[in-house]
Amino acid sequence: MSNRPITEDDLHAYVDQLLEPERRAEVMAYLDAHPDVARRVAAFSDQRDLLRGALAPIVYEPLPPELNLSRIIENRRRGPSRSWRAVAAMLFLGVGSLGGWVARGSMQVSANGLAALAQEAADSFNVYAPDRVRPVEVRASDGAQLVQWLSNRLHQPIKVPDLTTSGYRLMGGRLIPTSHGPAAMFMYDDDRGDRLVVLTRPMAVDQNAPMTPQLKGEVSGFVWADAGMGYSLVGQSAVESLRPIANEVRKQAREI
Amino acid sequence: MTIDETNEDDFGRDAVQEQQLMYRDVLDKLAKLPEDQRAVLLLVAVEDLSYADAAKVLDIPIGAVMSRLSRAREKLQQEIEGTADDASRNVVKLRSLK
Repeated sequence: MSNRPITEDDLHAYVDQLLEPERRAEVMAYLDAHPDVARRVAAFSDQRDLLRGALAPIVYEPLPPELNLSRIIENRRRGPSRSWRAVAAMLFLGVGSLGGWVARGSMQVSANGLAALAQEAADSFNVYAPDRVRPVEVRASDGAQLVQWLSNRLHQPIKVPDLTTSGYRLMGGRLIPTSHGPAAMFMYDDDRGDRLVVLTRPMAVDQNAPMTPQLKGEVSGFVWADAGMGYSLVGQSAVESLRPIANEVRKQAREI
Repeated sequence: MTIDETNEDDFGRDAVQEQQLMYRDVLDKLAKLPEDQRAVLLLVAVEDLSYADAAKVLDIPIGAVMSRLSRAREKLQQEIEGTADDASRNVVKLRSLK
């Protein structure tokens, strides 16, 4: 542990996930000891997730022809880049007209995309997490068989996230039917009976989408998509306490 | 068309609409920020530029990136909480019939 004081800049870098692991741990310890600051930082993280969710259709989808920004982008930076779209659009077009496009764009997208996945994860949690008899179909002790079966059914190499460092033990998993095809569900619990569900399936739309917080009644969590696979982590804990676990799931999935 | 399918459609639309409202709301609030603050916030929070890259792109010192980022987040949070306060004040007013 260094004795460098935690600065305002560290807090922002923490929100933007730009800190080295050691410094990140120091900031987390600081936040544990300073609940007021922790609340502010959590609010900033929520802002970040909301903005990314709201602007994801612009960042990741092709631009509609009426927003021909390539010239503006080229003037600001050599070579067009997707990373400039949201900024250019927000700066030069005004938010009013853009809001309409965002709403239209993600209306089409989210009925089948991330919003649907979030709903499926919440439904799976509500049905299976309270089940004390058979919450999972294949137990963790048959892990290899579980992975093989789910990978075959989803036509994707599926990896079971290991959440032991977050204090959650894999109970097992099952196949879930959705209107978008089969999904793999994994269930975890801590030693106090608190359960988490991770749901993953291939995505036809929203193939890449930033992590977005979700609240569905009693169930909250995060939903995102990476390289064509959608992921949702849900539970009954406060949404902020699930964020590091969702980050861990995302990190492990990228290592396949 | 079964009843089940109809219900599912209704559910889906509610969730989508709720999310759309949240997104529109935050974009409206974002629009109220001064342009220099908005640019930094978008570059860093949405476009995943490092602070150094944001400074390069905007041609400002990195210290200015940090102070604009900080002011942008504080102001956006005030906007978000301000609305929440208004809403709760309305509820109280209605209940006490003042």
